[in-house]
Amino acid sequence: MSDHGAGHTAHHEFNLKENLGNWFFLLALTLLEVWLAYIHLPPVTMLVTLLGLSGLKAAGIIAIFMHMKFEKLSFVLVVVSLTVLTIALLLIIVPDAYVLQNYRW
Amino acid sequence: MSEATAEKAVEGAAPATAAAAHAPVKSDPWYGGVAPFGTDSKKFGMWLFIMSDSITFAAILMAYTYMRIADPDWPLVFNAQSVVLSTIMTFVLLSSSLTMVLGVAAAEAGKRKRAAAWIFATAFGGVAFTVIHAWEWSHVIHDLPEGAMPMMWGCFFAATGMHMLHVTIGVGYLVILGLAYLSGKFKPVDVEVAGLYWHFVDLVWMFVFPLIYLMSTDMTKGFGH
Repeated sequence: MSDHGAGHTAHHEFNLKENLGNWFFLLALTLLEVWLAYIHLPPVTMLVTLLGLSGLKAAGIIAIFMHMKFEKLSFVLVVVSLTVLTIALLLIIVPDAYVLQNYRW
Repeated sequence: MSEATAEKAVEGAAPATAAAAHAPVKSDPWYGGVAPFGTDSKKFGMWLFIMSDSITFAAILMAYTYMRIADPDWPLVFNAQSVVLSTIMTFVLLSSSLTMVLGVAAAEAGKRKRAAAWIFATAFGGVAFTVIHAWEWSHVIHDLPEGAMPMMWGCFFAATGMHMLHVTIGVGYLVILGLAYLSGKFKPVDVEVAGLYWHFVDLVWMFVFPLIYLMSTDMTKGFGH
């Protein structure tokens, strides 16, 4: 992340190698996810692993493709922390699903 | 000098007193002397939209995850063919993100025609994704047993339909942007803002693909319906 002066937006030199590397990284993680579908993991293990891999892919897209790594720290903190916190609050209800496993509707 | 006087000495503001006129110009963000986020207002606006939209998608996917865990007999409706198809769709979207990155880079380098070409290539990727997805939807709707597994298919159509709507809007946005940018109406920052939207659409699919498809797949079913 870089610090910029008044009124300036984040500018950086375009790095083709970095962007291509990120694209290959995202493709590799996608293939890893598909491979996981072939080996029969328990649903919860599968869910946690897939969410972890998707989180990694999201980080790659946000940081490099969306240029977040070149933005000011104050901007990154506001955008990322608020979104992550709000989505994490939604996760609070998920453990309740285990209770429901014992009920049939 | 009091804090109130210092605030009045911010660059561009008329000094209220003779003492304030000789006071040092405040460049501290707390006095509004610099842009605290150091970014363009259009980019910031798009980021705010992305933040709100990501919460919408998170709610849909969270509802799906909740029901997926709660039901031990969740139907594994997808087979190897569905996974191959959705993997191709993922590849198309990821590649369109790369072409968008190249479009933004060309726009920042002042290469208007090249930027427009990459933008149209990105839109083409979006069209390809939508066509494959629509073809898959038509098969799913055709094979859907009446009244069966409503929860599973409700989740599927809600999540993928919402995403497909975003892709379709994105294609329209990119085509208009490409044409306008080619005629000199837009600035490079406008291309970057459109790029943020497109990467977000790609990002959401990175969660829809594993959660909706891979979590409801039985690979032993192989290919075919």
